[in-house]
Amino acid sequence: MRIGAIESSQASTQGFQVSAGVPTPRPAFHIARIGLLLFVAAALGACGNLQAVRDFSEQSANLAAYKEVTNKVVSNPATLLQYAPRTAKFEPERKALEADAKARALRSDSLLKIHDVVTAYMGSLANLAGEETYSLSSSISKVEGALVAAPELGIKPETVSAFAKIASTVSNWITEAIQVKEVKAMVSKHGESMDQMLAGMEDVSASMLAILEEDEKKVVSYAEHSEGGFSFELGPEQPPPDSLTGAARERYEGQRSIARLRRDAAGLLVARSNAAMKAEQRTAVTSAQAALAGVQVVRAGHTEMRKNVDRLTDQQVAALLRRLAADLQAIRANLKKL
Amino acid sequence: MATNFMLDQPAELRKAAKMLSMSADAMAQARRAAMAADPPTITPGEFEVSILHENFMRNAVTSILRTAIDGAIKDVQGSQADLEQAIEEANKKIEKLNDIKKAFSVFASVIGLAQAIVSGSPVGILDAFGALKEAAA
Repeated sequence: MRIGAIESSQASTQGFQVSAGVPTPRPAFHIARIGLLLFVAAALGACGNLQAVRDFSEQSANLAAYKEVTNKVVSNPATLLQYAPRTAKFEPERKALEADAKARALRSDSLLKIHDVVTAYMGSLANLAGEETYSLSSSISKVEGALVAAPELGIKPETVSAFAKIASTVSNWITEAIQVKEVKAMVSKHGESMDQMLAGMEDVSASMLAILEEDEKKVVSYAEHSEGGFSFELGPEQPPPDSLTGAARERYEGQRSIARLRRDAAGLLVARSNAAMKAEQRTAVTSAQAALAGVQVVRAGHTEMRKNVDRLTDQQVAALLRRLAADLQAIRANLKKL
Repeated sequence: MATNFMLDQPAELRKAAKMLSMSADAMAQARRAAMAADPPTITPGEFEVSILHENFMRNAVTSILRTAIDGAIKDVQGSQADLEQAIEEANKKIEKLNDIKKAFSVFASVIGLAQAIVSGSPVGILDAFGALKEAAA
């Protein structure tokens, strides 16, 4: 049997009418074909789902903790200057804090630039992987609406809607494939630079955390200095000498009691004030730890994206990215509680 | 030679800073132990000097960490330029897509204009022109 004969016999049984040698589809077959096309398009569309990439990139584009920590690192020497002992012996320490404030301020722009570039890149990736970015459905709906609302043009509304539905589904299928290709191209082309950038950002975050830890220890030592004075016995607090008797002895005892009361009151105030400044520095350190953890999560996720650039829509990769996106969300939620 | 190598490595600099920081911690710990004794086994003068020395070491630690930051900033400069280009490319692609979507809106408005012309309504034509202008803006 010739191939043409097979095709002809199959065509007659599978929905084609042969008239004058030209096959024309039967209406029922036409509908079935559209249905099949829609099914295939939907299935392929689902394959191109970049939601996990989008969610992870969106979460990564919101590394607010790094920016806050940078600002804290830059402004902290001025805060430390307020807490540093004001005795003459501490003059070199105050000078060192002033110099440190200037040195940190000099680095401020470069540090913030790293944040801006990383978040803008992840934001662009999230936009590129955006649910609506490549979808033409709403645009097609607009045209459909205009055609349905124009009966004078002689096109049946049912026909318009049917074609619009097909056009929308097929265009989504095509554009999703383009979208996956574009996201893949961005990660492939610039992934190495992003990995280097994130490695640098992690380095910077680790150093900023270490600086804030050092600042915290400095504040603890300043607090110790102001509280330490209360640990030494003062002259008037010594018991009255045996030679002191009568009214003079009573006056001495009274002065001793007042000195103790004043010392206790001052000690309490100093301790309270020190507790507040220590708590402030602890919060800064905790924020820096969260910022570092956030950068590490973004770096891990980006490494995975690069490693799996050819299967970004794969379920396993998507699950990993979703978990990392959840980790980033948790880090941010914990930061808000601080 | 080894020192120069270390100065280029932010992680190595952080390690060095950590060691110095631990020395400052040990100094602080010894002072606290002396102060905790009753009466303190340290004079007020020694106490103050000990805090000063601790902070002198901590200032050196901070200085090393600043150098580590400088190294990291230097390392990312090349990547930074490439990523700025990537951001620009992505934004252009999104802009192009928005232009395509705009073209659909213009097309929908043209249909409205065609309908108004077919129906011969002057007010409808004017409205459709307005809608077309808005879609093309």
